[in-house]
Amino acid sequence: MVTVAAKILRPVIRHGKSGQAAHTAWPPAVVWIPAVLVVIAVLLPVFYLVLRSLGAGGEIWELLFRVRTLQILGRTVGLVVAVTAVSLVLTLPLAWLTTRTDLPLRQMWAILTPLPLVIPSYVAGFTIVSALGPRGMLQQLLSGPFGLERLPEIYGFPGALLAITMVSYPYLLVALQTSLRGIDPCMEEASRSLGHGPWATFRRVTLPQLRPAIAAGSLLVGLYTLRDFGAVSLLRYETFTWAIYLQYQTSFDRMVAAGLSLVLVALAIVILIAEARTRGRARYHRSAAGVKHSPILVHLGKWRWPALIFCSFVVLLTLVLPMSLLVFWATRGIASGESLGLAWAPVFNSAYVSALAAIIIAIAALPIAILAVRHSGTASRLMERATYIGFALPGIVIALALVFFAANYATPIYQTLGVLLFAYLILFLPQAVGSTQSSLLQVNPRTEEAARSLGRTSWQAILTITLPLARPGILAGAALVFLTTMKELPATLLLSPTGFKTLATLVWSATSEAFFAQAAVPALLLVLISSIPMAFIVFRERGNAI
Amino acid sequence: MPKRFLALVGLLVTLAIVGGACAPAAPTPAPSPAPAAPSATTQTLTVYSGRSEALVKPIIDQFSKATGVKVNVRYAGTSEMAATILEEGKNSPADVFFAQDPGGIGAVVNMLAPLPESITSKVLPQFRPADSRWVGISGRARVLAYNTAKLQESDLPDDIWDLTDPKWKGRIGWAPTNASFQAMVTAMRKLWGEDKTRQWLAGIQANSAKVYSNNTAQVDAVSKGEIDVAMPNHYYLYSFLRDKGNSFPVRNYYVRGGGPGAVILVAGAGILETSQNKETAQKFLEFLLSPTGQQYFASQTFEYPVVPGIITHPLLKPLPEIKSPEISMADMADLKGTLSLLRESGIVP
Amino acid sequence: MSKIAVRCTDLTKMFGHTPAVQGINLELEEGNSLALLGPSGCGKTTLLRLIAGFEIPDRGSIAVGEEIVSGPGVFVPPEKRRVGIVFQDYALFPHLNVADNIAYGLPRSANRKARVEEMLSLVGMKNFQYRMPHQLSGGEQQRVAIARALAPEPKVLLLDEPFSNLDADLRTRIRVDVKGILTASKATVIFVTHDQEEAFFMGDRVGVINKGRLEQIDLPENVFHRPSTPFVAQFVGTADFLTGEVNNKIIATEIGHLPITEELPKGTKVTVIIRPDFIDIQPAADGTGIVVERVFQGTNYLYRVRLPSGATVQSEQHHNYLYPVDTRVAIKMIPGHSTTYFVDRTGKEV
Repeated sequence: MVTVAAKILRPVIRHGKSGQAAHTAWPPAVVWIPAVLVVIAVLLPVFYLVLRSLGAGGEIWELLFRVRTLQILGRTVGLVVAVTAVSLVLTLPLAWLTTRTDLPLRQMWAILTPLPLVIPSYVAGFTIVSALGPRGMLQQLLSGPFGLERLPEIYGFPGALLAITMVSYPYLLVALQTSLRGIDPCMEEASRSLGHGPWATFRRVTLPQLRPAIAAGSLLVGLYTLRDFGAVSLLRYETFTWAIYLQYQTSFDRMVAAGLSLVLVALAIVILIAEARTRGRARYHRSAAGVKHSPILVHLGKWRWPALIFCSFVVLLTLVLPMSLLVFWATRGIASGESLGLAWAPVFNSAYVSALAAIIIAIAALPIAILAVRHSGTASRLMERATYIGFALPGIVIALALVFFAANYATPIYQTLGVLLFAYLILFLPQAVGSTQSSLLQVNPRTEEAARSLGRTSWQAILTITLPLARPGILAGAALVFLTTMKELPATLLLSPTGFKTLATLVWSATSEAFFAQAAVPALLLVLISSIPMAFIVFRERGNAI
Repeated sequence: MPKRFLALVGLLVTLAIVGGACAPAAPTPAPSPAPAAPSATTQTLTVYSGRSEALVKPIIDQFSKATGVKVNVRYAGTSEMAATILEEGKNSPADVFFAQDPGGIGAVVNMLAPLPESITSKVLPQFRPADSRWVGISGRARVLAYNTAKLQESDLPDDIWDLTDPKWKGRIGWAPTNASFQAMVTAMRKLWGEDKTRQWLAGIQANSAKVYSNNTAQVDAVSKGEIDVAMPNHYYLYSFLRDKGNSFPVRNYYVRGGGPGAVILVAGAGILETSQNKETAQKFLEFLLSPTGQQYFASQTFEYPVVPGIITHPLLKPLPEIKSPEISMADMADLKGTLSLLRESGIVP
Repeated sequence: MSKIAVRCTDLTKMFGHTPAVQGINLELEEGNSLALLGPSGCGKTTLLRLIAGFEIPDRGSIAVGEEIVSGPGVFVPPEKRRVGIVFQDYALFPHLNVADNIAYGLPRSANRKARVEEMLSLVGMKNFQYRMPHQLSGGEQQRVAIARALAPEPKVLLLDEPFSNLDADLRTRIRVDVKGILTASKATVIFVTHDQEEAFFMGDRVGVINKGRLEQIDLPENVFHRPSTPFVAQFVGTADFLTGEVNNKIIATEIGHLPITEELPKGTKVTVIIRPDFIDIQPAADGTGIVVERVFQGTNYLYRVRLPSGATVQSEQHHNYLYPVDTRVAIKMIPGHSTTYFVDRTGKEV
């Protein structure tokens, strides 16, 4: 029975036949109570922002409606649209080449292309400046043979676009690869047998089915672009986030900063609505029966070479370049006898706090994902959407909100790991919710009902059936949280226990002077450690491909 | 099996959070958040430092060694630290705020306790505010950094005003979001008045000055020939000289005609009103202002001492030779007016 | 004489070292239907996919109509073959409604809409044209899938286990509908199933496939009554096997003598097929068989009887004859059935 509500709401990939759609039954208390608590927790910074901006009085309106604010708004929206569009143009062929063709070394490319996600955006920013900036590597390379004295200006929009795309396109790539692997190849075969060639089939059958993945991946890319500070500040492109930082930095004006942050929240809501619209209304599913076979790989023929050049170019720019720059700085520093002064404590701290965050956030994401998938309705949908707000806010806003609440209302736990982990929860929850949700959608609700009929409570059914079956998505979400926590800086600086150093804070304290060996070594370590969970995500995806 | 696994995970998480706050993750134990049982003899001190660890950790370690006081330091940007202190309000665990610039410490001045005469009297009058709620700890001079391959010192103008001359078009850079730059603009407003300052800003914009995010980037850009002249503080040059040697093609020029372009800025420190360790905190400030502390800043961080009788680094132009303008610290803290001017000119958001 | 619609010659496809299809030869005339019957994993679906062009054969060739579509140096892509296919799970495009699904394979032309209408009425789905696939029942989805595949007038229509996704009670009814649709469209059809009843109902001819080999291709009656291999005998209908020895135009087995028409050397060891309707059982104290199992089948009981050698045979008895397990019975051959036997070569083929 398809309820009216289910038709209006966002389409989801359902397992089984049409009859298994939305439950209208009230969800069990073990699910909705924790879900509500998590959502309230996640919205805490928004309460804070409202509280602060109320204190500002009339001045805030004057400031918000200045032409300049509107300009920044325009720039921010422009950057979000451009980063999303470029990522899409980049990742559609990448995802297709690495999942559906006989591209040479396909598996290797499938592993390498999502890896740039582990690179912190400030490292990406430095890479762009060093490589493409005035007197940068490219210009020096070209100045000899071609006598080129000036490159097109990299600062501003082009640089910010490049740097943010570099570190955020993997969100979209992973979503597309997963979706491409999940599409029943029979659809494409049916299209071929009906007289449409591979390209028409891709355009008319595959692409429409990728829509939910495109929407979900673009959402993360777009919200990430809203939040990024490292790249935009290095490349001098004024976005809302930069403007918010500047409020704190230059005027110590928390009220205005809060007002600007609320505009950012509004912008995030607009993006969330746009995403829901993009998904479209159709509900996509693969029916339960029938053996799914692996798709026939498209034979690239002479297109093999352009495809290889394309993949190499992407990996070279987004992965090899930043990594070699870090290695270069590190070795130059070591060669010139600079003391690296690297202790093991920050390495351990980074891994430890990121692992804790991964576990806690994966658990917190569960009730929300279960609610959204199994008890689809306006309330559960709103709750799921609300978790994305924190992902769009700059780290400093979240950090100061928690400084305020913890110092004044939870004094005993202020400046303990507890509050820091809470901040990570707000910042990174949607990554885990999204991936858990997609895994849950693959679990046939009949299996849970079977467990209930065998005498288990709803709680036991979740524990013994749902969780083990949804484990791949839960683990992937945890891995994603792990590597973004490794990179996080502002909340870590402001909320960690005093003296608690991580790799990210080491990089920060080294770069506040100049970016040389002392920053390169921790940055390299950070990237290497983050690659472990990233490799896990990629391998899991590959495992699912069969 | 999955149930047991989950129970185990839950247990681990609980243990890790509870235990993680002190052992083994944090190399130094968490501070006593709000000193619930205050005692005047407590020998620990919490410092919020907006100055970077590389710059101040050695001298703080010396203080601990000399006095036996255990110092917990939190490092973050000055502005983030100031915002944190404001959010913490009366529950702030901080005893001392050590800020990079007067604006940062000025933002929290209402939360600072007045300092005793014994401390303030050590400091040269131009480096402390009249209300004695904080003191300067070290000074830095505003300079023009120029590319030695393209310019000689004599090519540079007598006054910073002259950078508005069209001959500098496309050759200059600045970092308008940098707090030191903004402090210089504050000085301009006090010395030149609002109108002339506004004209200067417009003139620099008309000369299409390149915008940089910080001073390091400016100096680096001068060395690469991206611009000919930058407007940083004096000491950024010395870290480059240390890293890249004397062939680094940038040198400082102290504006010979004086005026706002030659203003000397300070990093300052104050004690929080809510601190339960005020005596220890005063000891800390006294140490920073002692010959040991001041000599450290003079010779290790290439800064200017703020107390008389300390020898500056041989590479630095001696303080008396700089024609720095007379301007009160209270005037220098007026960041709000500067910001509205900069916003009005469309230079900062 | 009608034309050949599909011809496979020595068709072979390996997956790694495992042959999925081995040296298959078959021909199908236009307008005819062929049912491919075999256990799961026997290679029948691979054969369909080879014909459709989703797999490339390792050896042999396929012709659709006059044209070679797969063969040495030739490979026509699926979209150029005019081979329609209905997938096991229908593979309807979830983002298109019923009418758009059906129109998908049609060229943009004036009569496109007319053809969609025609197809909709052929499959009786006129009132459903604006529904989305997920709003349809299994049977409805199947009809749309058939309409979609038939719309571009393929030279041959392939159906992969078309009824396996349907409920048992629905299956019989829809089978009749589908046969009606296919007959009305005069399509040439190859379909794959593991259900012999379905194969007999739908196929003008039936091909039995085992381990990638086409064991027999014939009229349904012949496949049943004259199986050409022990596998066919066992897979099609119920069959037991007894060993016997040739002696003067008869085969001596432990339940009696069976006539043969063929001359075989005396003493040749053979395996004889015994179907449950071949033999009669009656309780007898000195009988050679013992009832070991009784299965109620409605009209009949099916008895399994153990013989002295340890072999068992099955016998169908009217439900009036009820014998408990362990009853000793005498076994009698019912005359009138042709004897099917295979000369033992290895002695272990059964």
